[in-house]
Amino acid sequence: MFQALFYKEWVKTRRIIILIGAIFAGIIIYSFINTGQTFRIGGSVQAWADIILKDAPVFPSIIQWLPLLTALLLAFAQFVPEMTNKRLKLSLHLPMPETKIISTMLCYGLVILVIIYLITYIILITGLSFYYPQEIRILAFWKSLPWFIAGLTGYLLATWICLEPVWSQRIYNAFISICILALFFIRAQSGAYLPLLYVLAIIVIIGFGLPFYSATRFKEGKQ
Amino acid sequence: MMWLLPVLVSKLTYKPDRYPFVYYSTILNELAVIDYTNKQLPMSDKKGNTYTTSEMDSLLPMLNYRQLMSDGRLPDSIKGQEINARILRAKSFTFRYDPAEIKTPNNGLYILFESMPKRVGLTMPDDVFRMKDKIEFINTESNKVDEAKSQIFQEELSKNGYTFPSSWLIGNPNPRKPYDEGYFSLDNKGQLFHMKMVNGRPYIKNTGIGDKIDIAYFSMLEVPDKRFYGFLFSEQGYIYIIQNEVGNYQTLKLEIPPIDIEADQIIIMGNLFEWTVSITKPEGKQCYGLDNNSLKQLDEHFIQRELGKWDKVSEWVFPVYLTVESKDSNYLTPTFLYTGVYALVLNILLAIIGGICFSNITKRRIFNAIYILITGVAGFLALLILPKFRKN
Repeated sequence: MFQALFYKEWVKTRRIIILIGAIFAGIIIYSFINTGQTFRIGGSVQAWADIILKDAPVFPSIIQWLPLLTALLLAFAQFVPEMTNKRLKLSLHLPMPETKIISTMLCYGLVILVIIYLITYIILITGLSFYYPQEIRILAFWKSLPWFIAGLTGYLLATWICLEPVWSQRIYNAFISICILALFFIRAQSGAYLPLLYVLAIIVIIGFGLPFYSATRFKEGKQ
Repeated sequence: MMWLLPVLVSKLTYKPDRYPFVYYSTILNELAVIDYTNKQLPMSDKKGNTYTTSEMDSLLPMLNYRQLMSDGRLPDSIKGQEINARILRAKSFTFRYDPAEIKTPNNGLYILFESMPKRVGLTMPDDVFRMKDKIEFINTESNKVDEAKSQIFQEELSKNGYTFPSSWLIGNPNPRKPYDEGYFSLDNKGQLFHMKMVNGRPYIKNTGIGDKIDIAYFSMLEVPDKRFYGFLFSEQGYIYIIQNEVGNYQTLKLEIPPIDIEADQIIIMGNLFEWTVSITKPEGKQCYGLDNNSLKQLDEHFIQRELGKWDKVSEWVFPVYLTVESKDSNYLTPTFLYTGVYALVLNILLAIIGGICFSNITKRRIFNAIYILITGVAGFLALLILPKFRKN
């Protein structure tokens, strides 16, 4: 049963996933070109000094928004087809407990995202090890971590919004989602998010429960 | 929302505290208060007399010597000391300290300049170093450890009794300064070491200050006359300068009461005769005038903090709110701040309204009421826009 469910999700989303993969690959290549250029133009001393003294960004600024946007893309690709003509009813009529069905769909999306994020991270950090010492790589990791967690949270929140049957409620949900996501994008020094990370983790865990709530409302036929 | 609403309201109402400027008047021998927005009578003294701008220039010659010079009013000597622009410039400095300096993420990499360069001015070296369990110099171009240089420094550190792992290193890794005195580092046993690079060779010395003072923090300042290295903060809250004498590291204490290193902002303006120390505490601004040579206290003045619009608004609207950013720290930590009981009135009101309107079931009503009582405006709004809970 799980296999069938995964296959259904895959058919829905495979084009989007390839697109997301291509976007990340493009950004990775751009990051390396950018870093190489910084070193070529200013020199390695200048590049390191800017990061150490002025907290200059190690990754290009687009990486801030990329995990969130791609996560939203995936969520919409997965769940908008479910909601057109209320097709979610079909999924929910499968011979499985409804919570299991939705959990599977969510886990599918989360696993895909985590795999893509991890691969991106590994390639970037490995590549940067040619240019930068360990301390700077660690800095870059801590700085970008909230953005990747925001991606996971954004996916869950977008699912929550999609599954909600009532349009006006969707707008409220969207408003709440933006409030929550704002917490992940505060402009701060690298490493400043350290004390806040457990809060962000809790938000992801709570976020996992939200789509169930919308699905229940859907089942009850709220208008 | 308990975090976001206060952020938005504070954006509407928050104004950073503005305190009047305080400086020690060499001529009046006491602290004077200056309000630059008052164009006619900017300066007033502690007795309440007010002075015009040109009188202020004459009474604060150390602060306004450029104006006096351009007006041709700079005296040849004050208090028996010859003064001219060159002497004044050599003896003047400004030191700032903010608690965010210590509550900030540290990236662990430092830059060591050549202290006695052959050419005038400081050049950026082509390596950085880390010093946690041992010292390692990393060349920026190759991204590899310079084993030879690291070894020389490591031996010199061990020879002088440095105990790893190091607690902190403080210096000024900015090439835009008149000269370089390297780093001061606190080792694992509370001893303060002075470390710099002279003609490519390491210079490491135990200052011996760790035996006399419980060192909390040090902040380096390169003053033009090379009188001292910087300011030392002890665990008890006292401030010292570490005097710059060859081979010797004497401390001289500032005669002021202890400060709170985690909450107080400090500005010290020094000149040939006196120092003006301004400490911005949460409750107000405390100012002292100190003698330049002995650092003994000559005068003091306290300005109470006025409640701004944000304080008044938040007192009434948010009894407890969540903050993440703080002006005292570069970290983002979730903290609940308690503002006072006035806003509880609002909460009780909202709780009653919320309890009545949001549900028909009594138990749910009580739950709603208590929820709003605790979370206030945020909870009220949340209940407004969250979808209705399932009945039964």
